[in-house]
Amino acid sequence: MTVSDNGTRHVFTSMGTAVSLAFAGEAPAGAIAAVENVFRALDDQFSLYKPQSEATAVAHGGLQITAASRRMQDTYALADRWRIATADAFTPHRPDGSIDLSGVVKAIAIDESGAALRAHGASDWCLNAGGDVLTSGAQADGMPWVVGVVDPADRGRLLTQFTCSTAYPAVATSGVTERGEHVWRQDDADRFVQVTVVASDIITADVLATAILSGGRTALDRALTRWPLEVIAANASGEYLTTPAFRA
Amino acid sequence: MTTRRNSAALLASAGILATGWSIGTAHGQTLTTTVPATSTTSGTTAGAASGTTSGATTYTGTRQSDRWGSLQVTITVASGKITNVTYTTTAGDGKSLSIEARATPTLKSEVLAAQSAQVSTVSGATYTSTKYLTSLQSAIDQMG
Repeated sequence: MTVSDNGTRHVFTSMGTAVSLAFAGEAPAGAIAAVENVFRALDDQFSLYKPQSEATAVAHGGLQITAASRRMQDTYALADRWRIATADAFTPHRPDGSIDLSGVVKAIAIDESGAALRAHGASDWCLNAGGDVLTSGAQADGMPWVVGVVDPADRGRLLTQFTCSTAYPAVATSGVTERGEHVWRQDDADRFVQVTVVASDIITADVLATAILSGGRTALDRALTRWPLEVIAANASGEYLTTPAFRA
Repeated sequence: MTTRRNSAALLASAGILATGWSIGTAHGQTLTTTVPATSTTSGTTAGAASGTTSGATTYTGTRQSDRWGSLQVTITVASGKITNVTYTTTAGDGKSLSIEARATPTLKSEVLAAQSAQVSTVSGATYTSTKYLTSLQSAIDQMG
């Protein structure tokens, strides 16, 4: 953990990625441990990389979702609710039919971490888990948190930025550049290589970023008629579709 | 308020409500238990029955809101059977329905540029490369 005039920053790894937690000032006692516990508990239960996890038992071990824990069922229900809401652009099912809740678990961890931080009295912080960001309040200098968006054509650069607010505190990005084609696509039309969604909460932002990456322009248009969002989507030709917040 | 009939997602929701009603009647519950007939919006019929022609009666449920938007279902009942289910939704009202909020083609030169001095953190697709992660995080930390 580092403490400076610019606040406190703590980094740990979970869910196969780095989690970075920044506070405008000092971290309230217990706040960092609470966030780590949220991530650890969810990872232990939902990781498909852990042979002993409940999610692995559901996906490969013959444990029926109807016989799984309440939390597993609730998470599946949430993910399936999003599948319906996105007309299958987002799905908790792999093509072979097995259940994969990875698409919501990280966002749930961020969301629950936000609640834990508030419960510990923290009001000014920025939580980044593997490129998905939830913010609250302001930076140490009183300025709002600003989230840079990676340029899909050159990951060493930033493409654009978004200044977070109370209405729009959550920023999530889905892309195909990091893990290859890890999102199953609905169609070939209007393929995006990277989609960033800003929303009022991190689960909405994260799910819709995935849904738009998977479902293309159709999913993008549908999402914009149903939720208040800001979006920037890049296709393989280096062309962009943007809402006003991302236009100069 | 926008009336839609072609959204698979919301139709599915309406279908769930209709199914709930069917289940409800199977257990001897009244119609208003699962499709409350107490309309609270729009100054239209205050729920309950607003009779129509040919012996059919319409019932409008309360408006239900959640993170997926809000929804108000109206069913038409004739001879004790649901003959039609429609709904209205305000999902997407306001800002997201404005023309300006639509995603439009934008040249890279027209995309809002990042002012790296202001950036607190970076959003990007999930990173699995430890090397890349370490590099990115150190870069972020330097910003701090």
